[in-house]
Amino acid sequence: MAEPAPVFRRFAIAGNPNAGKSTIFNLLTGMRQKVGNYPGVTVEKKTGRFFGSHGEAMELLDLPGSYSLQVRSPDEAVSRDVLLGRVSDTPRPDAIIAVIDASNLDRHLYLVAQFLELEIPVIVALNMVDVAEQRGLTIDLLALRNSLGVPVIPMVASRGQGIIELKQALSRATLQVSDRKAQLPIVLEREVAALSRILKCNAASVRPEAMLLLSLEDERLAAEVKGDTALLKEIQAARERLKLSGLDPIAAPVDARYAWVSEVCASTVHRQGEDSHGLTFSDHIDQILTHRVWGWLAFIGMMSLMFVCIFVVAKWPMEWIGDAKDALANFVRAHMADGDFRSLVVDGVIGGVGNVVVFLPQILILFFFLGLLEDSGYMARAAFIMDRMMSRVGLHGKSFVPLLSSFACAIPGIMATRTIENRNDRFVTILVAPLMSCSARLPVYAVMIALLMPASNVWSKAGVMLCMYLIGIVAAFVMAGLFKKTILRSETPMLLLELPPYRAPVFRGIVQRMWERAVIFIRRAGTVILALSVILWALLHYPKPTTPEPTPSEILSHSLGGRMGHAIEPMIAPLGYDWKIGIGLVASFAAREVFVSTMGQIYNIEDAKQDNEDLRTQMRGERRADGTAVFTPLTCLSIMVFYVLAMQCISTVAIVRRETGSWRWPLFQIAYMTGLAWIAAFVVYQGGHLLGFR
Amino acid sequence: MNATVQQILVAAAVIGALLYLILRGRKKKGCDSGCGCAKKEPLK
Repeated sequence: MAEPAPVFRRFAIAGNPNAGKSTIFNLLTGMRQKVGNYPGVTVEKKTGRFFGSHGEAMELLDLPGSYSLQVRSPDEAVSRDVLLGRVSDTPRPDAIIAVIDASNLDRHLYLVAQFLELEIPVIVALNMVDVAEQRGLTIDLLALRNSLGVPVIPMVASRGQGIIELKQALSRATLQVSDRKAQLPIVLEREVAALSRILKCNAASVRPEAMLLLSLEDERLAAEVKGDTALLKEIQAARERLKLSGLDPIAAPVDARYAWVSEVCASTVHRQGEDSHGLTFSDHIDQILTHRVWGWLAFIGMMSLMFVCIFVVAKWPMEWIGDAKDALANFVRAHMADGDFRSLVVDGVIGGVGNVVVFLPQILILFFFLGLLEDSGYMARAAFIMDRMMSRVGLHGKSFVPLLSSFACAIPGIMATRTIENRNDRFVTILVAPLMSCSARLPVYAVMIALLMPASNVWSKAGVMLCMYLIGIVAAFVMAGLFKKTILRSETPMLLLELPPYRAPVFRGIVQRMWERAVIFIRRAGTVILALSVILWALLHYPKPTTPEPTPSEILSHSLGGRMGHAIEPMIAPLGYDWKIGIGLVASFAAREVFVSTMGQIYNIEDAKQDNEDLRTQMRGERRADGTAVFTPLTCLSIMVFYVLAMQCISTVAIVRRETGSWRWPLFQIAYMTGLAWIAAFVVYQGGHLLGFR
Repeated sequence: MNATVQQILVAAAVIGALLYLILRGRKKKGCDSGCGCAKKEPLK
């Protein structure tokens, strides 16, 4: 068998995911590829051979798709190490074929900016020019070549267009290193040059190595210098000098690259439909929705509208469910002999589960709106305005999605923190995620708001509901800031956020997600809530007093639940709660919505004769020993604030235990959240009293 | 249905509910059915 021809040149093909790298790789090599693994990490290594336009043998190495060389994942580390010539069995490539998506030039050029800093020849394959044209983008190729200082080959790789021109570019006698790159601040350039002089590595890659070491996060840097303490000290000293001169060594190069990318795009890309300032309709909307002031007003406006709809639209279906529940209870009452089991079925099962199921319409409307905001692309804008606040307290940009998921339920939110690489950042997010108002709190808020302001219009009710959500958000940010400064210190990485274009929401998808939530909610009501309601009923009825013909109040007071309520009453009395609310607090530790069913059961026992009276009416009529109302506006507010902040969810405790691998964190979380809830409820109730409110 | 039968039915329902919660907790090891279980993937 003949020996393969000696390789004339080695190329690495690199780019963002979905730029068309694999298509170009396959076009060049005719899919003659060899797949292996980089040692140490499970990242695929793919190489292939092809012949240049003069018949010379070339080798092509396919690098994993990545957005930057910032080294946050094994993929990015492999790309960087290969391009710096650090991988022992892979020689440093002679040039990089940078594949970029012409329809997303601004995003893809960031990686090209990093390639140019590596001081290695680059050939840009400008792929998907047809898509760019369809989107009304015109790219000035000559200007782009001049700005980048490298050959730019327009391509439609999926149709094989441009492949001959690419081969010709790869076969040129000389491939030159571009002299164009992002302009770094002069102090940073000086430190890079100083560090380059003391680094012991391949002369061609010494500057990029120095640049990289200066801009690494502390933990990565320690791993990178591999115990060379002298070098580590030099780098740390250089970073200190940079910080003293007001430069963030991590953020400064990123900012410089983005500024350079915008400059390049501004001079090379023109969009149809742009106004004289180069802005599209979507840009104009974004100017409002991501504005420092208008952005927040728009956010609050949209949320208020959502809560108004929750109150207005859900009213009728809630009444229907309530009527159906009462009809069922009456039917059982009419067809079953009086006794404990009938009471269990009517008050425990139908009352307990029914009082929770009644909130299904509100929860579905909440999910409808969340789906609408997410699908339309608005949520990314909300993330953008929140990011300013999040980064101020040191929260990781990737915390946004977990925190957003926590509005539905903290459990998927906590699971979603797995995308955060840094342990401390991840734990901070886990600790604050349950402070976001989940859908299980909605029934508690709705009942309390109905008691607080029975006659007010829906806008006021929506305003109070919005305040509860905002209290949760603010508490999460404040606590995150506190944890980041004390027990979970770490540096805050920057958020690279892509704002997707606005688009019409797909209603089928939203309805499907609502249906899924409905199934989950009803299944939960029929299993966990049902079981808890049965146990709760038993706790509120047994043991029975020995006195002949006890009154309903005596039964409740003598029961195990009643005794628990009495036992914790001294602790909760300063918050304005009586022992019956105490029973609700204890019972709802299993799940927050159980508070509503507990209250329903308690007042059903006491008002045994007033069958099927609305829970809110029963609660409104509840009196203390001195004849004053139990559920005053202040008590209602205090209860709501308590539920915003307290960790009343056993399932969340279990998931935090699993995700953090120890009991230490969930126990700490219960302690800090309960403490915070108690203090906040105390301040609301006692502070309100001092100010003369009742 | 007399009072004794009703008491027996109540006891059975309470024991059933308790057993359900205990067994569910053991089987799922903290994964909450109410909020939808994520797949148990190894941490990267």
